[in-house]
Amino acid sequence: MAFLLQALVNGLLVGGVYAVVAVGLSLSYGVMRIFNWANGEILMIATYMAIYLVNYAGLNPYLTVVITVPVTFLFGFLLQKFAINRIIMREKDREPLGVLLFTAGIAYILSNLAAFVFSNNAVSAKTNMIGATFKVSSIVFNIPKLVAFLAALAVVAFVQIFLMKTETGRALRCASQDREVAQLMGMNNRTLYCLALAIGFACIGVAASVMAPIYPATPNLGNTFSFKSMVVVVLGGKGSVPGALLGGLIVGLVEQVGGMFLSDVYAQMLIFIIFVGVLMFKPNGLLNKDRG
Amino acid sequence: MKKYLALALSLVMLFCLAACGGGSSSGNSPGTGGGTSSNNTSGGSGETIKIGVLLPTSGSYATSGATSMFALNYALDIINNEYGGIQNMGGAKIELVFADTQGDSEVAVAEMERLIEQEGVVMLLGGHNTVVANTLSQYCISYDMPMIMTGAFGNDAYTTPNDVVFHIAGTAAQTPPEDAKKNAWLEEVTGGDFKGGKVYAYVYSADDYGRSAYESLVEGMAAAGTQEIIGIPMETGATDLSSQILKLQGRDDIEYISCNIPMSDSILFVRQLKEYEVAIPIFANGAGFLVADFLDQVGDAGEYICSTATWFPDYCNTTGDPEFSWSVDQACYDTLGYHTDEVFTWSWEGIWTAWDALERAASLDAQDIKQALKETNIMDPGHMALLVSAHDGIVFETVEVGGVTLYNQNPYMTYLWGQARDGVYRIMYPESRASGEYELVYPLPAWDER
Repeated sequence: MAFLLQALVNGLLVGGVYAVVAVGLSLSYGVMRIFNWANGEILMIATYMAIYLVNYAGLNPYLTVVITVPVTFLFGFLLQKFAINRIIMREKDREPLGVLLFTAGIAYILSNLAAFVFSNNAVSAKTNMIGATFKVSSIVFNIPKLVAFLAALAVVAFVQIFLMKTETGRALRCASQDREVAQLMGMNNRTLYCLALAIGFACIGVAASVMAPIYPATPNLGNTFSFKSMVVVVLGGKGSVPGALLGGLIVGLVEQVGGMFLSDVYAQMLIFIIFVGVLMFKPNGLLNKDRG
Repeated sequence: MKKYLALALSLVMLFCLAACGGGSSSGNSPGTGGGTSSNNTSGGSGETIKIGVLLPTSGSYATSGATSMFALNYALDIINNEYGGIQNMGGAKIELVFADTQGDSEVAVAEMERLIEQEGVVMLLGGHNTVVANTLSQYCISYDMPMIMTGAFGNDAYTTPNDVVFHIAGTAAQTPPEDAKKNAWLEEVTGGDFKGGKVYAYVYSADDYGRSAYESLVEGMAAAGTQEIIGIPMETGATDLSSQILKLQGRDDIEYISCNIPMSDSILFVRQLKEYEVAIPIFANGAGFLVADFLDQVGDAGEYICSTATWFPDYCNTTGDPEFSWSVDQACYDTLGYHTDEVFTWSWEGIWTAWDALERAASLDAQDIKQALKETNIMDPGHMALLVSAHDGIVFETVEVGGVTLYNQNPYMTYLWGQARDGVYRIMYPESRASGEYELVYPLPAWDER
């Protein structure tokens, strides 16, 4: 029973890590209808950034957000403004394929660039936060994962409030529903898209900082999280920010609790069985209304 | 829109080509050509003999590719500049033509065909992961292109009868008998504290090599008296290993955990064992635990971890020329930032074995090169091939081990077992090769005492 409880706790905490990574992807998909395939690679670069700030500038891992968030925000804004907007505005499709291919290209470039610059060896943050734990009864809580879980809740709450309660947030939601109508209503879609990607990338900046004391950075880090965050977003509902949290928790719980009874390989397979099931029977995800 | 899309795709494709394309190690020297059907009989003075090298220089195996590339270029410099190239071919220089396999068998085959058909290489070196090695073996046999595999792979890469592909390093089937001997030694030196490894867990990556190694272990260790091996396959690039570790925590009869997983997974695994205070010792089977930098990355948690390998830098003390061996190790450290490892030695042995064969063949004809490779008999401890190698010799024979027949395999499998002390693996077994400076610590201290 204690093992099961421990697996549940681990599942929730790991799910929080997945959720904080997936929020950005969900937001940019929600607004632009584009799966940003470079999501994981941006995370990988930002994680390197956070780890190097810890190792060479002596920053506390969590204080690195003051650098990672503005840098990723700015990168997202500029990438959208000078590259993606030019493609998206010329595509008539609601879910433009060109941008998907473009982000896949960016992902490939970044992972190879990282291998060239950082080499392929794993790099860990040198901080005593790594492996820090506390116990409640016999249940072990990993502190960095708990922080990541709380960060996921905070990021989801922040983005949700921003979308629901601010003028800009409402404009973003409007653009996500129909970009032509939004433009006719006088909204500047280009700026809104820039903002959506910038906020999405800033969420990844948060994820990178909270992940620095959990995972070593390697050029392949992006691969793992790209795929998992895509699964998380599809499960929770494409474009739904709370859905990203729900999807993250589902993946984390299935992985950990399933892994207790099955091998890791079968637990991963189980996630994809659920993924396929959701796509078949609830294609818009668990928190999105199906539109026939 | 089309203009920009085309531009973006062109950039991506250019990048792919740059990443996939090989580089040459020695400028624009004219090749003496000759694929498998070459009628060339010798390379004259000033000519160049091209050897194709298939390594993963990008992707998840790229570290081993970088290490190999350094080893090959370092040896090549000595061959061409100090040994004067291939003396029996008028001092012809060797040119290495590198190609990036990306650790992917389809890419590896495409690159192999490019090396043979466009670059005109006379033989191949490389390999580096089981899937690639298996595929390349079959294609080399089809092309009748001599190849020296410079890696340790799952059994399948060795089991096709042929006279084309030659293996320097050991395979999964050769490990269990050596593991059993080491366990018996450990039982003896610990005065019975170690019970001979009757029950242990084997954590392996769920790929061809991992599965092959696990199957060989189950078969080989059962013969050696092991009662149970708890197999724990895992996907590489794991984000959390808690559930697998909790399973181990529930078993108090496990004597050790043997690991065969990539470096980032190894780091995570050690961290999480510490997190859950799992007191079972780790006796790693190389892989990520041996990658340069691993011990530095795990810090204090890495101290006292034990690992199997065919090379630890301490081995330099017992080669035919310790001073030279240490100078190579130092050069590796100065350039790459880490010491020589077994991947380094396999490539080092590979190129020196190729040089040795070409000297004896005195020909670029594939049949002559294959025959020379088959007759390889490097046993002099002062031979350059053995100065950065833990093998006592290099010959290629048909080897029967654990019910598996391995073709063109070097039978001089070396098995070292070391314990991490002061951030470096120190040889503990066999005692004849032991560092001496450090004594084995067993049982291993609790995590918070490391």
